[in-house]
Amino acid sequence: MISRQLLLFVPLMLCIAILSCCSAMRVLTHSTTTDPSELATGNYRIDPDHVFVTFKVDHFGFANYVGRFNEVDGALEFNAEAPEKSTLTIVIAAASVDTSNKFVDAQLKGPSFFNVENFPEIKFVSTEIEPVSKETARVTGDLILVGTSKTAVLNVVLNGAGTNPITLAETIGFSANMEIKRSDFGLTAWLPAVGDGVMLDIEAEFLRGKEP
Amino acid sequence: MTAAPKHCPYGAVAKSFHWLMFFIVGGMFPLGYVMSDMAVSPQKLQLYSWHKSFGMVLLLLAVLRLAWRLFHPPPPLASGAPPIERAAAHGVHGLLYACLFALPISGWLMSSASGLPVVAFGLWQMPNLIDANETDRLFLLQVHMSIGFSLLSLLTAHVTATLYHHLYRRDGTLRRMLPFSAKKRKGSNER
Repeated sequence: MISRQLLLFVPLMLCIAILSCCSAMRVLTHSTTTDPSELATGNYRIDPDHVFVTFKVDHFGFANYVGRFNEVDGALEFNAEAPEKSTLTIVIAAASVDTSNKFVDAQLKGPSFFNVENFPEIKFVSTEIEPVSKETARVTGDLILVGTSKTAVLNVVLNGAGTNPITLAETIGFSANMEIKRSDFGLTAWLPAVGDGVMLDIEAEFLRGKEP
Repeated sequence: MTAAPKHCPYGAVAKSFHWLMFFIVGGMFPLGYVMSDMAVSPQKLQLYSWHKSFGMVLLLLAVLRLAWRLFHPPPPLASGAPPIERAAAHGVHGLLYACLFALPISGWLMSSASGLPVVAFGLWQMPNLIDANETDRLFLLQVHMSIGFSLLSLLTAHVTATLYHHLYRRDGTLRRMLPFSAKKRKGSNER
């Protein structure tokens, strides 16, 4: 009788032990791809916990002043067979600007810069995507900032895509940058003490299946 | 006091459910206590993964166990116990079952509210029951902990009652659920 019960118990414990190793194994064996054709066509949404939009602007020729936006949303309709047919929209909450200096933040939110009361959103909507290499692309689109829309180009690098080993979400990760002249949007305050050229950097993970 | 002499054990399946859940529930309390106090680290995520995975196992076992119980009624309680004790036994058993369902479900809800889905053993992604929301998460954390402490109290009552039956009443109540005791022991009928 004892041996029969052990016969049931030992394999059961073994199964539990093996299952218990699986999540760690997933992390250890995790890999990503940079081949767009291996990815799934579909709707992807920015993971709000893994998106970073930072900007840099020259300060008196000494060093760049750096800030970030803390609330960023975005949707990607990704076409794996024809990546150039994909579309991208990024929406930034202007009031989430953060330079770790409350006086600068207040000025950036105020009427001389982003005027967040009247223009709460900063938006980029893609109009054309041209693949440069397998994992890089030039994404041309309309950047709408303080009510002014200008064509801007986002240089995008596909860092890696795959299944997040912990959440099992299908994920595509990009790094991207863009250079704009703030005077194009009427943002001329503090020129020329503070540079006209603004460099934007975006790091973003998009998750599949989250409808926009 | 004439203790009930009948030694009528639970079936092998019912015993397996009981002792499997005994070990898992026993492990979940220290696991939950330790992991929630840890600083963020890969180890913390691993402990959470185990806690959530075994929570799903518990929920599955609770469903199967209840279904099994419906078709295989447990042996009757030891005869000779006064009605109030019988009512208490049934009451505690009922509440234990309620906790075994409510605890994993509240954890699952909490996990959904946190935005970190339940992925059982890194293999199976469970659907989120509700949308991520910090207010809901904090509320569900209180619910989850309250049910956990309720279960601890019920288990204390459950074990105390078993010891009372075993040591004082000597009516074979504990032996009905012990493994390796399917066969009637010689002399147990005469006790």
